[in-house]
Amino acid sequence: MPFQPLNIPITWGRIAIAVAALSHALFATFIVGTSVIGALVATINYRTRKERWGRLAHMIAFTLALTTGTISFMGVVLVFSLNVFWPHFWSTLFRIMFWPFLLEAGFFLGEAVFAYAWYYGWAWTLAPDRRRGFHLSFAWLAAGSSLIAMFMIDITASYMLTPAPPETFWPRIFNPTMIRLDVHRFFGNLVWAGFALAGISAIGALRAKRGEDRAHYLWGGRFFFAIGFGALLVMPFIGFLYLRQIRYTEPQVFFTLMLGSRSWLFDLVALFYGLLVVVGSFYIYKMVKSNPTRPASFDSYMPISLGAVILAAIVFALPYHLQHIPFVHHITHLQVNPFGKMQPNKYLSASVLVFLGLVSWIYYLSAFRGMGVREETAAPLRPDRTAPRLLITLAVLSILIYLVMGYSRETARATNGYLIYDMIRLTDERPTYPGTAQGTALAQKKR
Amino acid sequence: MPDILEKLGPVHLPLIGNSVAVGIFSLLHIAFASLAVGFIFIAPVFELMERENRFNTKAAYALTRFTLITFTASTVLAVIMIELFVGLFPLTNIFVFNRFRYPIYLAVAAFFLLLFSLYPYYHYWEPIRRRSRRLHLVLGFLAAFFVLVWVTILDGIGSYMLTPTVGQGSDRGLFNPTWIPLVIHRFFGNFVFGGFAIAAYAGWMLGRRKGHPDEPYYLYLLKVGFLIGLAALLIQPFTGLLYATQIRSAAPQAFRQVVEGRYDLLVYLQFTIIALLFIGSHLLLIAARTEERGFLPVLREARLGQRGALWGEGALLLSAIFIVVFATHPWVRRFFTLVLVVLSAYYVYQWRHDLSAARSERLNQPTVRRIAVTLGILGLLIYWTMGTIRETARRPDTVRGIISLQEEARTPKFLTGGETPESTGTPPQKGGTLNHPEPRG
Repeated sequence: MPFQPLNIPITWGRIAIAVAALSHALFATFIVGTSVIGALVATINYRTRKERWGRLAHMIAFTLALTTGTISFMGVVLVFSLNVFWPHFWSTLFRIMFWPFLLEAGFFLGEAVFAYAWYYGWAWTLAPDRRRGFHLSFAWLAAGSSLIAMFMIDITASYMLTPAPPETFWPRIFNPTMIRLDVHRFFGNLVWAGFALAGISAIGALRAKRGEDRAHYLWGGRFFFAIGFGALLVMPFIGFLYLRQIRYTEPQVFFTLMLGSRSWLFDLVALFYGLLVVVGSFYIYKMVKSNPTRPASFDSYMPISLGAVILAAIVFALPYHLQHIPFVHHITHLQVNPFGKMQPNKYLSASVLVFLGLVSWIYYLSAFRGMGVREETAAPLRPDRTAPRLLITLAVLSILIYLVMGYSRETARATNGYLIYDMIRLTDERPTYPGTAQGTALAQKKR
Repeated sequence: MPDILEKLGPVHLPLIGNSVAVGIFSLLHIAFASLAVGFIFIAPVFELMERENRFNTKAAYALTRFTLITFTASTVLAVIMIELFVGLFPLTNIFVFNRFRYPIYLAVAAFFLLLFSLYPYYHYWEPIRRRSRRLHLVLGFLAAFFVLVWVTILDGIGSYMLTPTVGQGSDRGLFNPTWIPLVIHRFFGNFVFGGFAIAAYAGWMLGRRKGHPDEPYYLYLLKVGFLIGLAALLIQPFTGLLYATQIRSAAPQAFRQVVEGRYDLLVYLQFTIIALLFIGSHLLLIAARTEERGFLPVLREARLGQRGALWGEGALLLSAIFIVVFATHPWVRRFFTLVLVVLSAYYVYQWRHDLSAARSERLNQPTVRRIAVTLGILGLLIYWTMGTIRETARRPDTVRGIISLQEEARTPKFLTGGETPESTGTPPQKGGTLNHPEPRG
């Protein structure tokens, strides 16, 4: 009964795994962020007993129940795909990361159980007794479980980029980039989930037939935006620390991403980040303007801020090594763009984006209560469609930045021929595909 | 890669061992999965028959709700099971996924489409029904079809591990001798467990909500669930016979190992549970005919003074006992099973009007409720026992005659193109393989 090599090019296997992994990660991270935001909203609802917080929490719980079901299917697809397309790599990685993988699945099971108990036991929110408190605990237990599951999978994800010797337990777990990746993902999940929930609310507002529903969804969108935009402003600092650690631990990866053949991916991330801040600033401008009691300084600050943010976003996205951008050689023979230097241009532009974004965010929070008063008191003849569309744009941009970031990290390994850095090569998977087998990078070193 | 794995060595789970760990999660998974499969089939049928009884739509909705609630937990348990499989039995895992990759593509596609039919079926129940009842039913039946494709392929993989074929093609593994018999056996098995579980749930709820406005609904659910479970139970001995016959002809050693080997206690357990299912069903039928409470008064009221009762029901009881006593003697056991099935079918037919006419005063009494709950538990136990028997029949191999537990226990040596574990030079080990079976004791 022979083991049958797959009669397809290895690229197909790579594409299959990339699609399965990215779609899985997109939903998984959404669940982590949403469960944390959901627990927060449920707590506010528990304390205030206001109907609109309850409705918002119910919407999150429903979204969580749907996506949890979807992600369990995606998990099956990913595990099946790894078994079929990367059996050698998968078995080896699984052996190295046996307990983190098992614990991840176990805590995801916990997340599913508690999230479902939270959603399907919604009648308990109306109970006057302790059951209300129990119901709230389901939301926090779901959030806690999903965070621990994320922690477990981050151990594996960071290990693949900056591994430690496999026979050492603690260095394997707390490998050099583990904590930084974890923090990066925590805030990244809040950005993605915040903007995604804002986008869902915006769709709800656009589709709403009653003024009351429209006002509720617009209010929900504003709340989620505040979370997503706030977390977005923290990301450059954590990203900087994460990349710096990669630079010290695996310099080859760092140079591949920042100056080498995959540097265009970092420029793409910068472009999406800049766009998120710009579109977010426009949204803030629109929302704060709708508040008649906004601070007087806002009207003079915001146009200047918008101009500066657009300029900074352009500079931040400028590429340095033009020759690494696909198809650019058809346009220009220039190899380097001096304006795209990290030091000082991009550092400066990133600082402008974060600083002005932070000031705008503070204006937004201070004016939050007075926003959308007209929406709630009277149904407008022509409902505003610009603000919901901006939120949908932010949700789409957050998906794109997430996918590009995920792809950057994975391709930084694959470009240099590794599946686990300095340990397992792509060529180690050759027996699965027609071709010759080669030893591992580690084995080759030994030889 | 072997270098890395040699440093780490194979994983050995402490206390319970590798096989038991995988087994526990498999059993937990199938407890939910078998119910879900059964309910996905039953729900649209209930909905289709909504004009027959006003409770049918409510029952269809409740069953789908249960399926959705347990869906993720069941799926994640399956993922944990596969992950354990990857970590603890890497050779078998690679071999099976490699061999069944094309069926797996199909299974994943079916699962994907299942989600797209099941989720709107439940979450947009009323909006879709308002627009088109037919569309809603189509979604329900599509979900049933896709779940059938999914379980059929998984049964193909499971059956292959016991009775592998020697074909070269990746898809040939499905067409092994026990595939279709296993699919049929499991298909009806889902209804045995599903039906009795519905009855058990109804019995439990009746105990909690006596005099509640929902009482008629749970009474109806108890009757229908019981009838579904019993009807499937009457079919199962025949599908089981087909399956067992195929195992005996394709893997005689595996069959002998099950019936006479070190795990024969499981066979006794299996037939004890089957006998209890038949006896329990009969007791519930009797209890539904009287308003008496307690087992002995029920028996006295229903039985005394009726001509033929002693012979008919005595024979039923004796047959149930004999299928346990002769559990390891297939031909004798089959004879008594046939008697048991015929007598049970006769009594259901005779007392069908009593059951359908039974109201609260007869059905909502502790005796009936306890029997219903017990039948539900027995339905789960029989599912677990049979699943365990099928897995132990492969021992000491993981894929019978191809990969042994002993090979898995060593540091993994991964397969390359055209190799088998045996052809890689693995010497016969203590555990043995199909041709060198593990000695008893």
